[in-house]
Amino acid sequence: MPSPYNLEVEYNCSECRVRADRLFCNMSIGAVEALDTVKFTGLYPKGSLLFVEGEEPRGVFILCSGRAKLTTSSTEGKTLIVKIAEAGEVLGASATILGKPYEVSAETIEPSQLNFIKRDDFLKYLNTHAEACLHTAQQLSEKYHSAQREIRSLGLSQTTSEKLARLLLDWCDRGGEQTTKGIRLKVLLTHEEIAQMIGTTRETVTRLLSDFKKKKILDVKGSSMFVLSKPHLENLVSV
Amino acid sequence: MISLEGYEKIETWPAGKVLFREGTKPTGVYFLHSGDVNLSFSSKPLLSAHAGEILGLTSVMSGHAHDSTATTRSTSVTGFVELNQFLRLLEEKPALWLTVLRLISSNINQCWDCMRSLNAAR
Repeated sequence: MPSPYNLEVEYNCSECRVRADRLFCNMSIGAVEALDTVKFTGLYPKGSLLFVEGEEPRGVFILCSGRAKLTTSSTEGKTLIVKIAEAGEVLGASATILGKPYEVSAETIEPSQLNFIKRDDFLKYLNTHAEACLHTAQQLSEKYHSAQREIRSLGLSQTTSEKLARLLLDWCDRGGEQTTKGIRLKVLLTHEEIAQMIGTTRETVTRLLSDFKKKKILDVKGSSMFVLSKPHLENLVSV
Repeated sequence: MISLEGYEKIETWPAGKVLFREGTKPTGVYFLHSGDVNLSFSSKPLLSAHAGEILGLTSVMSGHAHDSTATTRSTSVTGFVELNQFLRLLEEKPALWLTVLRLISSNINQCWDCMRSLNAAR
């Protein structure tokens, strides 16, 4: 029988084959078995809203497979994508730990498997497993560094082309695949979403990408983007 | 409050003292007991830290180099705990973990506030 959304579903964390590669989940078998007793596995289609900015924290979601975008809105209503969360990340942890409303909204951008842990259960789990605290702290620290990279881009870039160049370089460094054609980036974001990542409009992103293509800095084939000249992008980044 | 006696080296700094620089590897953490610290990116102060926070914490936890330069904005008192000592402290006083997790969570929220402001100002 085909699995929902063609996902390879893993219901038991202790039997998960990719656990060792995941920052949060790579814990001792005892800690993982304890995790199995408090989590609820769910399968979500693309576009599922997991939690909304301003909502009281219900708990955390472990993104087992798939990807999700984390967004925030300014008082003027401008949406900003603060992060594209990858498989292995824990979503909603900072709000859950602080007991304050979620600061961002989370929405799947691919069919995804998520393990949900209720807030009380997650806090109890942390209290009884110091190892889980370490892994949560590492996970949150990664998120903090990612947020600082975004701040650097938003706060220091002089031009929108510089912001786009920074984003493409960031994708090259994290998940870019070297091919004979160039560095292959698997881009599943729309131009609108790329615009929301660098704080600009969709029209500007479309124009800049077209400009980059004309200058042979990159090429687009289907949902893949190839960076043909990384040095050219690096030259666009001033600081 | 967890006692850090025997672990930390207390120092008082005037305004303008650089505690660590962007791009350098963390050697430990600074418990900021009083004062304020600017966190600058390429010399531009975009974030700040206040009494009660632990500076360099996320770099120690993630193993990344410091993303920003920390400079005291006012006379500040810090307690420096060397990296291995800090990890030992966490082992010996697991109650400190909750403080660590709360502080990192607050730092993330501060980043997202900053991003909202930068986005609104575009």
